[in-house]
Amino acid sequence: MISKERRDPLFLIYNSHKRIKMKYQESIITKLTLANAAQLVSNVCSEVLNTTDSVDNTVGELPLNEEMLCQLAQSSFQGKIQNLIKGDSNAQ
Amino acid sequence: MLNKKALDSAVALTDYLDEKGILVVAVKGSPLDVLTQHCLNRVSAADSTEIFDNDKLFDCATSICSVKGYDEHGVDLQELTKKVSESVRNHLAHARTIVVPEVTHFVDNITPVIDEISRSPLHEIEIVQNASYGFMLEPALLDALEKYKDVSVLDVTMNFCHGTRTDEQVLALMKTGSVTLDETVAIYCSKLSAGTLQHVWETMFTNIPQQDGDEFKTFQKLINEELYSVCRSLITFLVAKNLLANPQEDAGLPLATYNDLLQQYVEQSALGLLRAKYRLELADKIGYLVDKVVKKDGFVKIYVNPTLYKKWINEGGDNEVLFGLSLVPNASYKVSDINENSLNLKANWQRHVVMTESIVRLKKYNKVRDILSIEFQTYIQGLSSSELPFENREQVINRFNKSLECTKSDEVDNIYQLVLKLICHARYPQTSAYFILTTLDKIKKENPTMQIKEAAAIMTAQYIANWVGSMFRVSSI
Repeated sequence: MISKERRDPLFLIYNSHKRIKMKYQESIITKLTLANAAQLVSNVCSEVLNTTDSVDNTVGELPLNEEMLCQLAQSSFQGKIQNLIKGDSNAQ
Repeated sequence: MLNKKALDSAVALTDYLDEKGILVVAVKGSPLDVLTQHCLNRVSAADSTEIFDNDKLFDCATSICSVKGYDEHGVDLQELTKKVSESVRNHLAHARTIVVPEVTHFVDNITPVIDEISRSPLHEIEIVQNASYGFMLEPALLDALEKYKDVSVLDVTMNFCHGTRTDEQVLALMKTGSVTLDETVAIYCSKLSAGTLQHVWETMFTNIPQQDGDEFKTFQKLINEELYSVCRSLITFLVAKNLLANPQEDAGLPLATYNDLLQQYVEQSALGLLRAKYRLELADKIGYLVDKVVKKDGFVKIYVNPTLYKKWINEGGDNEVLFGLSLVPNASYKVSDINENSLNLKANWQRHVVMTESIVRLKKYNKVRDILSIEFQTYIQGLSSSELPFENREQVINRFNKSLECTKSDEVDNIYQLVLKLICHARYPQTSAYFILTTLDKIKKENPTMQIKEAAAIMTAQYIANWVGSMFRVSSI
């Protein structure tokens, strides 16, 4: 039996907003986590490449700039996260 | 302060994860968590009810805390970057200057043995087209040989004591005066390996010791020996005929004895050539595709009649049929019989290939593991106590043997990678050397034209990303 409150249209709208807001907040957490992670990779990598003789700070004709390093980092993260998801589902 | 480019780079992956219902957070208390929390605190402080776009989110996440009055994120990020980059540099230098030379030295030591055991008998079989004996069709030679067809076989005493002669000098002694015969002989001799004419001269006309011990063989043995009979008979015949007309001063024999001996050389080598001519005619007439199969020191050579072989290949003949033939004892070498049994012969060979490959692989796998184990013991013994303290050695050897036990059979095909894995696991389990060097190798393989320094730059980014990624935790929304 559905409670009177749950049949109330205002309650349903409120609940739907709450879910959207929660998802939005989680999305921000993911985005800021990934952004900070990429920035850390970019900063450390630039620091290492600028002070190490054995490595080059270019790839072909392209310089390994911040943008490129962030993109490289994100593609590494994607693989890493997929492994974590697989690990989680295996654990379940 | 968080960088806009870093935030923009996260958009695509965040959208993808949102769609899948996956939340990514930093492990509580990790350096990444500290940095992310600074941004999240600023966003929470904004306490806005509206949904931010990326620019607004950036403005909010990078705003400076009015209470503290400085960029906490920037300070922490700078400090962390300094600390981590120092550690990354050390790991890279360790992999490059310690691990790589050790692995290379180890691999260099075992490579000759590994190459030896990697030899597959399947690669040691070849088809050799018999030399083309154009001179056998020369009337000048055939007329000269005809005179000796009724001579009895005799083993000639080899008493000549001439000095040595070069290939060119021997070729000059083979001149007959017939322009076409001399040209044909010269073409034939030019295809022989360097030193052959000199070697035959020294064996037949001198008492100079030979490395292969040919000087201990009898005249008949030398003239009739498989593979060399035609070559030796031809050289001996033409040279002996020439010497009869023009005796050499360094023979070491009285002239009468010298001439008698040369006459016997001419007669017996002529018989050798006549026998060879008969064999060639018979082979063509009967249709012998294969002349002989010679198995020596693990190598198999299938000698074929060049004219028939070319015709047979043009008509669709398959070398695997001949390889299969080499496995059958007392097989018929006639082209008609070979064609009749071609399916069986080919199937024989293919079965042999499968079995041999499997045996070779298994033997190699076992032998490589034995070699690695022995070499590692030697390698450990060669290390000083400062390189590896004595009390840690047993533990290192145990780790090596444990890794070696788990080695898969296909891993022995890439010895460098295998040794790298074993040494890193045994000697440097606490370092990132294995990740660094295998990632570099993978990047180089995937981008063969990329320069090593560029590959190293990408590897460095991936190495750092791997470490940063280890601070992620995922959950379903």
